[in-house]
Amino acid sequence: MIRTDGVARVRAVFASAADENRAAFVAYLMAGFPTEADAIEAGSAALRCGADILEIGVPFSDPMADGPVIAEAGRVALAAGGGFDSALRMVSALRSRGHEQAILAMTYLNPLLALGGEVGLQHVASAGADGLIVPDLPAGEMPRFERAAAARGLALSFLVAPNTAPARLETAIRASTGFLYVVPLYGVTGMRDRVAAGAVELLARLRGSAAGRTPVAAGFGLSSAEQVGELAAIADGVIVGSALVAALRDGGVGALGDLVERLSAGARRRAG
Amino acid sequence: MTVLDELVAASGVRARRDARLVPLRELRREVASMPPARRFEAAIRYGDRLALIAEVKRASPSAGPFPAVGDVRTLALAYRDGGATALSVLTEPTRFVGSDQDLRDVAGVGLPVLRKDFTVNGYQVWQARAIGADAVLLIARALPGDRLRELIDVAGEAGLDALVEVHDEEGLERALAFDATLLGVNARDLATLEVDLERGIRLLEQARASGATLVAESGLGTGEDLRRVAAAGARGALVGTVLLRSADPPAATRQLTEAAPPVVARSTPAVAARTAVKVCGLRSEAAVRAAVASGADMAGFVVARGARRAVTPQRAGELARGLNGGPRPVLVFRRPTRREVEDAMGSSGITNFQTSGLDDPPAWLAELAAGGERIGVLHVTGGVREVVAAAEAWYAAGATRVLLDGAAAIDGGGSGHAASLPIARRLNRLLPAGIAGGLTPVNVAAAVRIARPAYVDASSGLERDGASDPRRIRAFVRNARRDPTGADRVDARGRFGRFGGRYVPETLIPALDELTEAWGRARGDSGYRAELRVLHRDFIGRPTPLFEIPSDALAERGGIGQRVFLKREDLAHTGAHKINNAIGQALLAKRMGKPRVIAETGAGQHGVAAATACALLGMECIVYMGTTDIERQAPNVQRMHLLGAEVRPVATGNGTLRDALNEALRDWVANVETTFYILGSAAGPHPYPEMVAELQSVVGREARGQVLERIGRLPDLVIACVGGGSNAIGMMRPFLDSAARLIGVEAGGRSDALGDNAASLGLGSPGVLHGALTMLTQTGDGQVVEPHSVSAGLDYPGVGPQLAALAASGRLEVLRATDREALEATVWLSRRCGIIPALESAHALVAALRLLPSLPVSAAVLVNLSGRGDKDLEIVARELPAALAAVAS
Repeated sequence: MIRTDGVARVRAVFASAADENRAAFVAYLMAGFPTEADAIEAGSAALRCGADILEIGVPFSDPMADGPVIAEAGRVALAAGGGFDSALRMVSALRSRGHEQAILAMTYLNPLLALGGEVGLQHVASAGADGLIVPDLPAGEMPRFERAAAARGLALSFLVAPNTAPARLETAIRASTGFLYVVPLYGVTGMRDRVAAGAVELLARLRGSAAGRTPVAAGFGLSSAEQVGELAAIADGVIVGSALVAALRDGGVGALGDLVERLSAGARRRAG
Repeated sequence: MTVLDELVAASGVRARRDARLVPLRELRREVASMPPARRFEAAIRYGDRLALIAEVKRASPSAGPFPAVGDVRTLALAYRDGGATALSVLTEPTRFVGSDQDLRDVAGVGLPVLRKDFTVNGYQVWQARAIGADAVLLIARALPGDRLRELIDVAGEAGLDALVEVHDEEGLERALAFDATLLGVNARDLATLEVDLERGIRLLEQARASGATLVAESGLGTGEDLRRVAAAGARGALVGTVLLRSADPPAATRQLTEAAPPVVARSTPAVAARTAVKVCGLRSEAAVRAAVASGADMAGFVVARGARRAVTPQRAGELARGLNGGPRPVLVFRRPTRREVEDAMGSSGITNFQTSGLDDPPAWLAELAAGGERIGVLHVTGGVREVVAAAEAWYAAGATRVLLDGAAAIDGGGSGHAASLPIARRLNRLLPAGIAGGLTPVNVAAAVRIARPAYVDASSGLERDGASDPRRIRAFVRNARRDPTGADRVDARGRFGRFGGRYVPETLIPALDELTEAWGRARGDSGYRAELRVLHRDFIGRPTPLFEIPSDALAERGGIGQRVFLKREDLAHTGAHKINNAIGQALLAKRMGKPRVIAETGAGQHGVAAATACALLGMECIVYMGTTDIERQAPNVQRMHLLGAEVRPVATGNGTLRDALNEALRDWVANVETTFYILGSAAGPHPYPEMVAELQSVVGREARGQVLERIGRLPDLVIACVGGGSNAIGMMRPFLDSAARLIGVEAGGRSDALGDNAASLGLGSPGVLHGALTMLTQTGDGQVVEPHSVSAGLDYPGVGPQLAALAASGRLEVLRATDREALEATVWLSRRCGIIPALESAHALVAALRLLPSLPVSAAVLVNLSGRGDKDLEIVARELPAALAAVAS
């Protein structure tokens, strides 16, 4: 059995970012978008230009938590025959190019079940991924899956929202061996003009609850260095998805690399 | 350390590791939701030739690797096509290079499967069942002392057959003393790995008199070997190496199965999918009415002279007339003579009978009442092998059923044979057998869960103050029919068996919690229920009528007296059953103080229903609808506008129902605090499947009462179309505890190819969509495929989780009707009965008409005519020439 130590790698990323007085920068890209080859180039560029963690989206036919940009990217990837396999090929390709950063697969539950559920985790680990994010799997709904991931050293990061009740928050913190994925707004993925009202207070509260147990990263809706900077001041990590996918779509790998560079610079905290 | 010691030690380590990942408690819960295991021992014991058990293994310590084994499923299919009776799969990973996955891959080919491993504890027995095995290997020598007995018992409890492998006399004696019924006699010496066929044959001969089912193992390569072991008493032979070494495994398998010698066949009746119910000792019209209304399968009248509950045969005959062709009447005798039985049959007109108190079946049994039930009662004495032999003797003598008396007393009362339920369970793995003795409304559900009997029988447990109590009869039947897999009710985790749950973004969890709580309060609240009742009556027009298709019309379709009733949901306000749910949820939204309502719609029926309910209750209503559907269903879009709803077009995906559902869920995530989502089908995350099913159950409750009133009994078949399934579950829930066959009809579309139909139950596979684990039309890598149906209301790629669970448990039969058949039935009903059905409902009608000629003349069929067809006029007009041609041909 191949045993990756994804949990350690993800936690190390947050630790070294903290040492450098910045939030970890988490970039999301869709596997197979715009093409399978370009997605790999894009992933490589993101990791070169400042991403500490790369989330690789697995295209799915019914992406109910995604806004238009990512949903459309998924549709393009699916139409070209993409799926979990293409996401795993992307992980392997990035590893064989020598990228040592943390790489996570972000997938809806159904493609993961089709991969064989707990058995499928073996494929995820073998490809070189460090963990999984499953947006339609609430913490505690599939305890066997959580234990199986732990046995393979795969880091799990569960989502919490502004309305998450304290008991459920506790469940999510305990189950998040990677980081706690905070969605600071009501809604799907996609760019917003400003950070959601109350996001800062929410993050402060969650970070207090999770302190010493799991890092807290915030995502959904970020598109500018200012927004990243605002959240980086109080989160352990900042996640950007739709804005990067849109940059890749509109300007290619070069534009994506530039944006990652700009946004990840925003994750540096000004005052120590 | 011998090879065996080493394998056993490694197995123990594996079991401890596996138990950390999946604790026993979870494993048992998973097993509880599984349908029964295939019958491994029965397939071997009741064959008419020596049964070949073909082995799937990648390597063995004695023979080394078998490089020809690539894809185990392909190999298993080759064995099956070569005529093997069952399969054995080595899952041991170290020396045999097997895995649990190998067994999972092989379990789908349809033959019963033995898990061959070095099983050392109960955990591994449950695990065998969970990964899809039907039998488990227990090696006597590896299980010292009482461990062997313990694991044989665990296998029985888990619903598995245990193949107890013995290598010598000592092992044989222990296996027999521990009540094993299936023995593997291995000619290989486990310490030296040497094979000695002569020794194996001597051991078979010694085991023969025990009555156990004997399987010869190791060293069998030729037809002559098979003839020799069969002559020594074997009914099965386990063969692996010789097949795996051959260049052409299918041909080698065929060659061996053809060489397998005939053995004496024992005839046994087929095993029914679920537990039937006999209520016994009825003496009053009230008790008979209760038996009929509750949907019992059999009603027993005790005519044994001197018995406490005895009635005269004449009186039994009078009472039986009140059964109206529902439950079958049975005369119950104690130690009767042939004359006594014949006289009672003559004077009562009842041709079914049960005899108890006889040690052996009487010679005249087979000669009486051809076609009627002849039930023999066994009295539990001795172990499983003795009970099996007694049951076989009764069946051989012509009994149609056997009843194991004293099997059921689990509450300490009655005759107190608490230990007998496990015996009943193991007997029922081999042969259908009822259980009786101490059963009551309170303990019967547990007895069924433990024993999985062919039927249950009670008399004193149904009485109060010495007389049959109608309420106890109803409770007994209801509880006896609790689904052992949990498919009939939602559990605390929001699941029906293994299906259902809440697979949604965390943002929705608080909303679902809030909804669950509000729904729980509302349904128990008399104010909410009263408000709903008034709206049912005055706004929807309930109860909707029950219409019987004229017999001359049915005669055109092969009917010769069967009766078909249509539940006229097409006459409900807005033209379909959808309004029942929409009103119930809108009323709930109002109670919860949510000012904004959203809904999704495909064909527009649910959208119109939601818009209608919101108009009445003064609420804002936004309906998400795919752009393709908006184009196809323009009249419904206009209706929604007129009703004041906003229709939001969804252009993503294919612009159909699932895209609308995805978009509605996105809206809900974004506006969760102010918004109530009225989901239109019994699908989605908990509590929707439960809530929608409950709100739609008014259909089945009304229909049950209406049929009972019309024909004096319950229907034999209940049929509904299945898309998401809200009309089906609403109709069927109130019949789950009846004897009726429940049939769901899916859209067969153009063909059985993926994407050409919407048959998620019949052709799909398990997966998660829209918040629930259910059955989906999807690709092998988990992408949901857009379904097809001529009927817009059926083209949903999933199905409600409760229907998925009922189909898995076998309670729901699933059929398909094609586009063409549905159109043809639409035209037929329109022209022959003056009712234009919705294309959805026409699918249900197709099944009724298809089954009609095969049903007994007395059969009564209930069909949910879930909606009217005005909305489909354009499609029907377009397709009509083809449909008419189909009618003409």
